[in-house]
Amino acid sequence: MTKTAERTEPVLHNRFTVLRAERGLSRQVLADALSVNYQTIGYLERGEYNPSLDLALRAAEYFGLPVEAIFSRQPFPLMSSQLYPASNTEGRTGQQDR
Amino acid sequence: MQSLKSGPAPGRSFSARVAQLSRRTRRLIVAVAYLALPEAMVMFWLHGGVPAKPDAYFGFSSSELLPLLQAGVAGAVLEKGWRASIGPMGLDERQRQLRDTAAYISHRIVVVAVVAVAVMLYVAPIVVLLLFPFGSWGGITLDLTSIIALAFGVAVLCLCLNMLPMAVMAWLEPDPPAEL
Repeated sequence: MTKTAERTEPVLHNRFTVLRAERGLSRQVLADALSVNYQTIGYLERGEYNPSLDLALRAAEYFGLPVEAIFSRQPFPLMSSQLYPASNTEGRTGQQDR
Repeated sequence: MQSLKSGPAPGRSFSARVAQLSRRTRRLIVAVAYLALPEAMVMFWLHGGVPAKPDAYFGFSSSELLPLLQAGVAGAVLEKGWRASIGPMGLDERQRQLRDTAAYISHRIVVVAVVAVAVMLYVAPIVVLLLFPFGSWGGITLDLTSIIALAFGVAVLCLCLNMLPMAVMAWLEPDPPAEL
């Protein structure tokens, strides 16, 4: 929630920014759908607020995804590396070969 | 598809602008508000409260009225910003959490302040008696001027105490994200 609280609370990573962007939603629209303030969406995206279980479940329901696809205690891997793992490996191998 | 462009929307209301103030600005407003407390004390001791002219007791020439106005205006801006950030559905879970944290911190601040004042009240007479033994200092008289000045000082204190949770919220909350 706050800078002070951030020091004591474990950071909960989320994919709000990506999910919101790929659906073309504004913060206000998403906030209205989840019944929260638009600033709360911004703080969630910046990792400055950890949502309650209720809000996390509501977000999962809204996006139609399992909770673990939206929230994680570990940083999410890059989407590109998840979509194209083989080509990334080849690219890295190619670079190493040079 | 809606625009994701961020930034201040044209023609935004004063409330919306206040709600979007950066944390640095909010902290500055809090500092200005709470500077009124030492200012009121300084005004009281330096100028002997309000000017002695009867027509100045309730006028803007009162030196004690300035800290009161300062704290009042700063408090009103903080209040406006907080109220503007509340959506039509009321406080959401983050805002409730922030409000509870602010209430808890405010309580701790007040407890520390009360203990500090109590200690000072016990220590100050001892120090005064050690520095100025009995008979070497005159009595303290409370005339109308001093009472009015004291009343203004108490009003500043009450105002600052009343807006303490709001000031803590304004102090703690990070920079607000863009609206869109």
